[in-house]
Amino acid sequence: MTDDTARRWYRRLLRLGPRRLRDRHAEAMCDAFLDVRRNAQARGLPAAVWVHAAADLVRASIHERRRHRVAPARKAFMIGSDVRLAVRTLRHQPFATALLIVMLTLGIAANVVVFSLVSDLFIKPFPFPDSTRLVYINEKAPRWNLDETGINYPDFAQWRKSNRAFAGMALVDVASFNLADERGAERVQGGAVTFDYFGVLGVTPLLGRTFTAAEDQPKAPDVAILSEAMWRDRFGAGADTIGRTIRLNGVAYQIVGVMPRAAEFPSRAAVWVPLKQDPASTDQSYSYNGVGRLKPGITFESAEQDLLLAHAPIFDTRDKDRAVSPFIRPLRTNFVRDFRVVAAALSAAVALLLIVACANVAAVMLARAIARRREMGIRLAIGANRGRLLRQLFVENAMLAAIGAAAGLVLGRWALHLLVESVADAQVLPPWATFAFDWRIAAFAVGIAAATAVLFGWAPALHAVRGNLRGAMNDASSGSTISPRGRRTLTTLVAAEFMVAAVLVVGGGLLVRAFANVRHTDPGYRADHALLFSIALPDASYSDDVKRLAFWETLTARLRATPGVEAAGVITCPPLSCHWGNFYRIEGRPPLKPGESDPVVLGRFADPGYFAAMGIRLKAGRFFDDRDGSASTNPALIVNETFARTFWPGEADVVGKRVAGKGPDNPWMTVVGVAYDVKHYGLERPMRPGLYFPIKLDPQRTSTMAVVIRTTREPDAFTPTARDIVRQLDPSLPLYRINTAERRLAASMQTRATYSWMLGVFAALALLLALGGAYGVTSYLVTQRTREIGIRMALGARGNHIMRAVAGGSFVAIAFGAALGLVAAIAAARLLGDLLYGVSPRDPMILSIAALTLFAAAVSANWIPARRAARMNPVTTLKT
Amino acid sequence: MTAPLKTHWYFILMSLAGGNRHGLAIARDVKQLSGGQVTLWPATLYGSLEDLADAGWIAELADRDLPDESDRKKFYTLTRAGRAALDAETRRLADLVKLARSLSRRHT
Repeated sequence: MTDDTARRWYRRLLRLGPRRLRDRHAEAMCDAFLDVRRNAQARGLPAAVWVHAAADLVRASIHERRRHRVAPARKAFMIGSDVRLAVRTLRHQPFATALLIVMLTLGIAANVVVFSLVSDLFIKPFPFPDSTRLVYINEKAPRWNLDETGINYPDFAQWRKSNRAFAGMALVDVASFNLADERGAERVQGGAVTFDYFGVLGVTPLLGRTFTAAEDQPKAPDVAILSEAMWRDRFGAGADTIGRTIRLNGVAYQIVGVMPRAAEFPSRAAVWVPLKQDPASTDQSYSYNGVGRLKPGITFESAEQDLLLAHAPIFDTRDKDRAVSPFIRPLRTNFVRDFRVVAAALSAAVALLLIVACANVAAVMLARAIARRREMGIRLAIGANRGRLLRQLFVENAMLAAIGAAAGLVLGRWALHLLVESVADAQVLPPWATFAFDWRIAAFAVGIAAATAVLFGWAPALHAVRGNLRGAMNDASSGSTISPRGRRTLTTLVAAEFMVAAVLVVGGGLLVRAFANVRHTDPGYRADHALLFSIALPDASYSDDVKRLAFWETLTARLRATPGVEAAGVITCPPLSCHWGNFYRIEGRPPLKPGESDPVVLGRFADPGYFAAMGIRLKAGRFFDDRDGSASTNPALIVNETFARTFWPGEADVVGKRVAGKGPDNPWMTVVGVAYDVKHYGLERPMRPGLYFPIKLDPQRTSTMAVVIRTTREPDAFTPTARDIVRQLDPSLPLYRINTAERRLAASMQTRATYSWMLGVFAALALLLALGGAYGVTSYLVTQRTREIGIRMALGARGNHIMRAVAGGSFVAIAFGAALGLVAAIAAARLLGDLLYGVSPRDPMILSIAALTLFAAAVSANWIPARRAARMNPVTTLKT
Repeated sequence: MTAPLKTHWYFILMSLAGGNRHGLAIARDVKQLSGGQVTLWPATLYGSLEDLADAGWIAELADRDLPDESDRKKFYTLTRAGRAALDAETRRLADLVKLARSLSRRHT
């Protein structure tokens, strides 16, 4: 190979080397190569020279690349300069920056509120070890329309004996006690539990011990376990508390243990006593709740199968109709069932709200980026690389997102605090949901900051660095119209905002409408001017029927004698409280065919004064009088409308018809009156057939009663009077569950009120953000087109032409977006399901209100900037 | 003790300490100085010259008057900083050698 050929080849090989060397030293390098080659050839290694030379060039290339990557220390410095530059840019436009931060803050705050709710209700584990293995156990009777009958103790005893899937199972009966000591009488919440209840939950006592199996037998000595709160409150957290006694319902109980706060489950229990049931009893009452702990590795399905298998002997003996059967569900599910749809709806709503906020920020950032294209163009032209520019934009976005997330976190936690506070009285939230700040929420805030930065950052960033330099320099010159692509992106963003806002406005509107419907449902009684409270007469001091009836009679008589009290009465279960269900025989009704189901009937015992005090209206016949119930034959009975309709369909007059309890021994009772339906289970719950019995019929059942008084003035003012009257009768009796009927009704709607209100606020926020976004974008476009407008006017365009030209396009886009949103909303509203309480997803009123609101928002967002454009003086616009 | 210099940098500096030279001359000189041990391949040679110039240890001299423009050669000269760097490295190596000698004496 001649030197010339070698030189030619080496020159080609130079491509492997760094460009800089090639540009500056190509000839010299060729000379140097030939020199080395000559030396090597003398030693007879022709091929090795080429390999060496190539390796040399590649090595230099690698070295070159490393040389150009900036040293770490210097890089950090550059991030610092990016941050400083970003701060400067953001501070340069304080108003726009503040606006961006406010939008992000609102969007993120709403998400923080909902995520905190979801996290505590659905994600955070229960405060028990291996809480995923805990299940709720109950029984159901589908043929009687009962989803939950409560557990029958002998059934439970059978399961406990023969199941294989459970490490343990226990029963709990929610109970409350009259607690009397030197500090006065008080009603405390608590539970009657089987001895292994705490073992199943996996909580160990703070002090003392849990119950023993022997203490859970009928006629065992009375023992009790206190909650930590009770122990601190009443016993000053003394170590000597174990062994002392506490008087519950007038009976002394020996304290054997103190339970930590985590055990206060599921209610705000302060004291526990053993259930003391006899497994051999033939009692057919169904009333307890069960908890179970599955053995490791057992699935819910196989555990339920196992439980049904354990239940089989009962089908063979006591329950040949196979009416009642056990079921389980995860413990958490049991407490958050009601919130599932709500949580999903709220999560979707806040996600949409955040999208609107991000679209808004994107629009503003994009407008800004377009305005900065000249700056970017110049920077690119003098050698800045695109990566560097992108990084700077990214730092700006990340800072906005971080500030928004921090502010949103603070605002959101504050709003959550207010929210939880406002529903605390209604006890709609489970007690274990404390909504304390934890790492999940912190992680969520960080995640959402990153997500928003990406969500609103991409459009402006792409616009900023794409496209050719000449174009950038040209169309960013002052006062000229922006590129069609930029304008299209902006209007698309705004149209998308309106679409999402439309979904939220319709959803919020439907829920508000549903709430209004629920609120205007007739409860069947007068909720105003009525005060309710409960009194429990302990068996220890009120053992016989006469004494009990006498107490209630004296109490109501004295209350009635109080000035300002119009009526007073007592009932076992006032509206929105307990349920006592049974089956009845109807005279002359054919026996049930196989497979036919008998509805459960709600039974209540009321005195003659109750109906007037509660404000219940009579449809036919009469209410009770004093003699009712005392005679042993043909006792009087009052039915509700649903009862009359269910058992005597189509019959106008049901007074005089007869009803008796199931079982041939029960005597017939005669219907003396028909009362209008009372929404006993809540305004949005279905009615059940209901009966009222006179209290004298079964005085055994009247140990715990709710007292109702109807007042002429503010009912709360009568609480002290009522307390005084009860104290005069028996100072050991506490009044509890003291509340007005109005507040009880409001509390029953609290959950619905809360989420409807929240969704309404989210919808309003979304609309406001969309309106602001549309206004901002149109204003910006008008400013950009100042010169064009001036020319048009100089050429003779009228004001309305200008307005159409300026606002027409974006108005059409927004209208299109909103219309799409309305269609999407109708589809989305179906997912709200029961939350809509019968309101149709296509409710014409809500849809037209939403359409009008969106239209008005779109018009006002476009009209104001457009009018400003139309009023411009062409002379001044052209001079600038 | 300062950080060691790359071997070929040290040889280039040594070569330039003996007078201003152009690239090819440096390569030949280094080959000779090292007794044929060090071959400066072209990319290494010119890459190092660029790096050393960036570091301010050598400087490019203005073109000598040469008849043919395309054949012009770039001459390099050692700067004051370059000489200091060379002396520092020489001292470092000398110290190392001294240290190694004293150690080997003690052990033998």
